[in-house]
Amino acid sequence: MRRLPLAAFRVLELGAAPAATYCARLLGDVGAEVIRVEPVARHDGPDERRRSLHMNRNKLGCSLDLSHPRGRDLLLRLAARSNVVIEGLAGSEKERLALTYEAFQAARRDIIVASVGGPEEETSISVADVTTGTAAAGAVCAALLHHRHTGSGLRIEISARATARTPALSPDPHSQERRLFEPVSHPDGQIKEMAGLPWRFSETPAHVRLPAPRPGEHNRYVFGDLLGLSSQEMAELEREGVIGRRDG
Amino acid sequence: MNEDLLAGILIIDLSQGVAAAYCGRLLAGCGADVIRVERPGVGNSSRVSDPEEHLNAGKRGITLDYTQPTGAALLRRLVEGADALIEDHPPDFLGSLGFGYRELNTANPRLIVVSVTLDGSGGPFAEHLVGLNAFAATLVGLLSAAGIERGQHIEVAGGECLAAAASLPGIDLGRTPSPLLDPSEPADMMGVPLKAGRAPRPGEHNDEVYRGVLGLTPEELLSLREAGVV
Repeated sequence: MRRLPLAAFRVLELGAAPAATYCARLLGDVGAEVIRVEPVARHDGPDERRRSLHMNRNKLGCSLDLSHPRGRDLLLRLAARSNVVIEGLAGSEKERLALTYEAFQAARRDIIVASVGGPEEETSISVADVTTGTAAAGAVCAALLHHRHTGSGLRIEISARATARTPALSPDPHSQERRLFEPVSHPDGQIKEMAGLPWRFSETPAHVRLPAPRPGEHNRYVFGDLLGLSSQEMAELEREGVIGRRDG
Repeated sequence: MNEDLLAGILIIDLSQGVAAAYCGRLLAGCGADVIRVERPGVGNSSRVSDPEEHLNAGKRGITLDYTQPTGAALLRRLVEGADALIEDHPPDFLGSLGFGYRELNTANPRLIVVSVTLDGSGGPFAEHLVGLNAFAATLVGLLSAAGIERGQHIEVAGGECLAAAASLPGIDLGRTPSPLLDPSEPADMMGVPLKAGRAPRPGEHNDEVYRGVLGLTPEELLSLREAGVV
């Protein structure tokens, strides 16, 4: 199989801002190993679950209680093994958890941290989240190029622009070419296809290759393989609620 | 953001329309050296109706008629030293001039070629969204060039960019960002200021590009001017 464009990079994603989630999805679409950090207890309604299938494809998922000191510590240890952190935390949450650029930088000197925000109290995805997330993905790639030449990390802060209620986006139905849509296999069979990436690479074609993770689906890989925790340590963290139970 | 993120990266901007020109503008705003190529005496179509000042700010501007063989030879030399080429010509137009992807790749095996297709019916917001997609795709391509040790052709399908956004469950299509291309607004990227600069006048940087980058003599440049090539 041909190497995907961003196969060399690991991206850690946290927070709920849809623009950040979309940014991380684009990076996953082009081959970065995206690890999405989700809260231990998630209670998604059907709409959120359906949206998550689209927004979190091509990502791995782990569950972690960031408000627990050991959870925060594990997050920073993951950051130390990542090239990029995409965070879409609300301002108040960021402050409470003390997850500043400096905190990530202390974990890894040359880390790239992208803070990607949206309007507060966002409950659905807006077109602004898509444009903001796309711009942020470009900015992260620019920062990775810069890192390649200088060895330095940096912070990026991008927030969605104000939105206006306008007679806006009405894609021409004729332009919705069928080749955009790709089959996906979800364990629960909820959806059978979704729009792929509208960028066609001649040498490194990128596709939907992973369905959205189930809660904690990749905890063993993330905490065991990447961070080197033993089965006993993971079991203890599960009991304490620091990491979620797989499929919990 | 550090405004020189893309220092040392050379982009050839053959854009005609807004989306591709906006892509070049964002790359220039991140510090890339973006050379905008216009036909002598014509100007590109995006000049006619759109806020060219914002679309082309921070680029260098040259004039070059690459439909003439002498001009095509100069474009080939520019391509040899470039990292990426952005274009939005009708399919096969560049191919008919000897600049199909295969020929471009022969001239510069590491070149990233980004072709933007957009039928122009989507309005300013569509141009904005597709321009952002082209910007991100170009940077992904530049990153990939080192990984796979060769360039590639990336097609950014404008209509599909819109359809992909519209297909997200629960997306609210009735709210869009205030357009970035509004001439009354300062140029930025989602609140991040882009590197300052103004749009070049047509051919403003002919001397520094043809003489400084390609090493032409003043006499050569003069004769190209007289022949209407630059």
